[in-house]
Formats: sequence, structure tokens, C-alpha cells
Amino acid sequence: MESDRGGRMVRITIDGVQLDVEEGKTILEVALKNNIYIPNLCYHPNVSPAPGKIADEIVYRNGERYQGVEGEYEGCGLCFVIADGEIVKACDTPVRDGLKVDTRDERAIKERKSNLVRIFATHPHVCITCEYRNGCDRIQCTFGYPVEERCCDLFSKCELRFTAEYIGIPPETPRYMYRGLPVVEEKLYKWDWNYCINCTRCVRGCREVREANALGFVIESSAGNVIVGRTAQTDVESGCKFCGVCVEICPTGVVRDIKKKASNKWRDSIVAKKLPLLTEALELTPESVASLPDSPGVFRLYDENMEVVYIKGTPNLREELHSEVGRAAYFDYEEHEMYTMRESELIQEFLQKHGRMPKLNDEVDDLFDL
Amino acid sequence: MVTVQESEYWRWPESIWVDESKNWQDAEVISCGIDLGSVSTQAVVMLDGELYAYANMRTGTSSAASAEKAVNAMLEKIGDMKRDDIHYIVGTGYGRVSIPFAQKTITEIACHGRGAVYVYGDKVRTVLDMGGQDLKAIKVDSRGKVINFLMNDKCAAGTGRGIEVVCDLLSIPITEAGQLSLQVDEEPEPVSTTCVVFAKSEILGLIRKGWGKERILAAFFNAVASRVVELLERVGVEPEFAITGGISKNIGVVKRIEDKLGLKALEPKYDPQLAGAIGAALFGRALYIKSKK
Repeated sequence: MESDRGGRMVRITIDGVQLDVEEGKTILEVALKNNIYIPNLCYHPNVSPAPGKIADEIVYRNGERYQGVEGEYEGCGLCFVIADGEIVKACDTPVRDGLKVDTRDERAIKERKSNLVRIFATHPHVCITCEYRNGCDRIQCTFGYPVEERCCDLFSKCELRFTAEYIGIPPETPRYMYRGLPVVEEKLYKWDWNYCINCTRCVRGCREVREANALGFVIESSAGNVIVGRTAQTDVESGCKFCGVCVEICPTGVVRDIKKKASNKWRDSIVAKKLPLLTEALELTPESVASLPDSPGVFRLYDENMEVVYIKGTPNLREELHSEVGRAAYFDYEEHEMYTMRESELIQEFLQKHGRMPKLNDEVDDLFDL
Repeated sequence: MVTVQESEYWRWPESIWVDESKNWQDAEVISCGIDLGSVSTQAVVMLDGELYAYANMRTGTSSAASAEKAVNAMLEKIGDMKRDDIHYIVGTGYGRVSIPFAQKTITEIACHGRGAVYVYGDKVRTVLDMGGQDLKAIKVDSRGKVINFLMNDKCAAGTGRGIEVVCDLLSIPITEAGQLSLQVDEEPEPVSTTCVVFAKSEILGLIRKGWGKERILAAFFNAVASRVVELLERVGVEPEFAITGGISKNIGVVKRIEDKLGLKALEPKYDPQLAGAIGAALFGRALYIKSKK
């Protein structure tokens, strides 16, 4: 059998689901394509896999020199799965005929968690791990954590956060201590290295998408840590072409466009990454709705692409959702006594993330001009 | 009427009003909006999209009864209008789904946005709704359609209820607190928290220290204003900006917000506490027209 692009097709199984996929693709690629989520962070669809990339000799942060030793980056270690009984990185393992993949194996989950702990040791995370993260206005911290330990303003769309929520935050996660790493203001970009998890995505983006080589990484001799930085003291000297790919590809909040320059073709060539759902959605059918509690709460409707299209609070979830059948493909809900307030909170969360109201919440739109 | 006891300094006056110059029988569409908030309930009647009558009452322990009370008080003031004469009733506010006679409910965010344009004119872009239990910063377009909004955390800090508690504590009628707070020679440092519980003990401490009531109010309102300005700056303040909700009547808070922002709030054409109910009534009118098409 051949794929539409001419590659040979092989038959594999992921979590018991049989799939016909293109030979030569990685386990992670084919899983995501078939809507099976495997947590990942250093992977990005526009660049080659991270594991095995050779370290540079020197990088710079704010002109400060970081000398490295010979070595290679092993990857973020969040995409571990079991393939034919062996624990492997899904981003770096090609599929082969008859391969059996288990993404939910205990061994793989344990490995992901221990690597997540390692990432969180040097990245602010009180907001990601906070019990009140969903309703919080993130202006004042109820628990009094200093600003440096809190998450940045990209919280609502932070890829690290989404991935961490999926994996589950391990209880052994240590407290983050602010390290006062360089904050660099260049001509167009601002780099706050305190947020860097050294996943090398920007390095590969800079090299492979723009072929600029303005960013690199070294391996520290002492602890073997990876450090990402500029390949020369300044942006211009490093060969930066100011394309903004680094801004677009960073999974956290390290690099920002100071001037908020309009998009360019390099920037636009970076596609959005598939993120895990933070909630389990159900299919919106009369059968699934019939088993809901007839108690107060809030529900969200999703379309086929799992985009939230409607958020509503109601005194009776079962009754209200019954009347919504046919308006959307999926839904999720939570029981909540203060449902009108919770509804506002969820709409606010959506607005912060998308800059507009959910499509069907805009239903009053035609009532303005009558 | 309830007899107001002297000790209840938090009690703000209820009000009922009708535009005697209009005859409601001439109107094509009679719509009603009810904003059932945590502390106050407003009901308005609009004739073809123009304000005709309102009642602004305290919310009691039952949402349904509070809505009923406000509507009945307003109808009584009008005299010959019955609830059945109203073509469309829309409910909004936290208690909106508990209004049994409302044909439809719409979120208070949408209603405050639209109502603000009626109360302040179509120049308004940023609406700060300072209610009994929450603060909302809303950005709207020229029609009053919500573009973005932010609200405070699950917490009544710096809200109307907080101000009620402080007034009670200082034995100052809530309607006079704003003016009093401006009678200080020098603006004191804000109290360290606007949390209703902690502010109470902090204020008791200040009383013991011998601070005057004016100075304590100034320190508290200063803290409330700081909290609000943080919220506004997060959503991005654009002049023209306006304040709706009960606290918009507190000159002490409004003045301090204006000073911190370096902006003057718009002057309302109508009682700004009515914005939510007015928005609801305007949506009600449109819904009625739509249903007849």
C-alpha cells in the first residue's frame, strides 16, 4: 500500500487502535495526526527532532559568555512511550510495520513525570500548580508569592502549562527559586532567560526555518545542563535576521517582540502546535445528556475541531443541555452552585486567550441595530 | 417601607422614579430590564428604547422576591401599568436565572456594556462596573458590544459590600463616605489590604491609633482605587472611560481612580447604577421586534 504522497504505508497499533501510517514518520507525528495525544515539548512540527543535536562551543546571554563542553541534547523527555516493550522517545523513533505502541504505560508516565520535575526546578510554576489557577485574575496573588515566582502573562496559552496539566504535576516538584538570569533588551526582541527551559526549539527554528544560526546551545561542564543563547555577543553579530521565528516557536515566555511588528512570511510559516485538551469532552447526544445531574452548573460546547463555541451557566444542567443537542459536537460541564459567576469566569478565560467571545455567545450580536 | 434604624449606616437609599412627561400607552414597544445583583436590584421600563421608569432596591434573601418587589414598586409608581402590559422582560445580574417572569436572561457583562452606551453616550470605550460583590473592566465598541473584559478574583475585596462594612464600622452613612474621605489635608497611604475581613481589623487598629474617620476612609478608598486601576490597566484603559454600578456614586473612590489614571470619567446622563437594567431592557426591545418579524 502507498500513501497519497507515494511513501510506503505500514500498519501499527497505538493503545490498541490499528492505524495505517506512512513509513519513516515518527511515532509522535503519526499519533498526533490520528488525534492520539502524546505529551511533548521540545518537538515542533516545523523543525527536526531535538535528541542528538550537537552542542555549540560558546553561546552568549546579554554579552555574557557561556563556554560548553562536547555533547548533545537529549530532548525534553516528556514524550516517552513503550514501543514493542521498550521505552523510547516518540519524537525520535520512526514507525515500522507491526509496531505496537503503548502511550499509557506506567514506566513511560513515570519517566515523563521525573523529567517534568526537572523542567519545573528551573521554571516559575506557582501559577501552573495553583489550585485556584482557573478563576484567578493573576493580578494579586492570594498566597503572596512574589512576582518572579509567578507565571508570565502568556499563562492562558502557555504550552508548558498545557503539557504539565496533561502529565499531572508531580508532588515532588521542588519550589522554584528565582535565579536572576539575564533579561536582555535588543533592538526588536526582549529575552527573559528566567523563563527558558532550554528545549532548543528556537535554536532549531533559527537554523532550519530561517537558516540564520543566530541562536545556539551549549552543555555546561559541571552539571551537564543545556544553555540556550545567542551565537555571538549581540543580535546583529550573531546574524539575526529579525524574522521573529523564535518568538513564534518558544513554548514559554522567553522571547517577546518589543515592537509587536506585523507578521512576516517567516513568522507565518510557523504552524500552531496541537495542545492537549485540559478537559475531557463528551459527545453532545440525547443519550449522553440524559445521564447528567439535574443540578446547577456551567457547560461549554465544542465544535468538531474541539474549539469552544459556547459557555453557559444554568440551574439545571440536564434540562439545559438537552435543549442544546444539535447545536455543537461535544460538551463538557462542571457542577457549580454559583454558576452565573463561574460562567463569567470561563468567558473571561476564553476572551483572554482568543481576544473575542465564543461564537455562539455572540448570539446577541443582531440585537444591537434593531 | 422599612424603618431605617440609626445603626445601619450601610443602608443606601432606595429610589423609585417615573418620567411624568411621557404616556406609556403611546409607545409601540414597552420593554423591561431587571438587574438582580448581590446587593442591589434595579428594574427599568423603557418606551421604544427610552428610559421611562425605574426602581432601585436592595436585594433581599430571595432573588425571585427581590425582582418581584422592584418591578411591583416601579409599576405602583407608574400607576396604571400592569406587568402584562410589558412586551418583553429580560433578566440580568448574578441572580438573573431566578427571575420567574423574565422571558430571557442575558449576561450582566453584555448588558452593562450596552447600558453604559445609553447612560454615557456612544463615545465610551472602557466601562468599569463596580458592583456589590465584583469589579469588572469591560471594553466596548460604539454600539456597546463587549470586546473584552476582566473581573476580580473570587473575592469581594474593594467592592460595594466591602464599603458597606467599613461604613458600618465607622458609623458613617454610606452616602456621605465619599465626600468625607476627600476632607483630608494629605492623602494617607492606602490600607494594606482591601480584603473585607482583614481591612476590618486593620481599620479597627487605625481607630485605636487615633486616626480620624476622614483619614481612614481616605486610606481605604485609596486602596480600593489602586486595586481597580490594576484591573483597568490589565484590560487597557481607553478614554473615554465610565464607571457604572453602585460605587460610581462614591465621589471618594471615583476621584481617586481618576487621579491614578490621569483621566476624567464621563458624566452620566442617567443614574449609572441602572446601566445593567437599561442594557437588559434595550435587548428586550430588540428581542420583541425580532419576534414580530
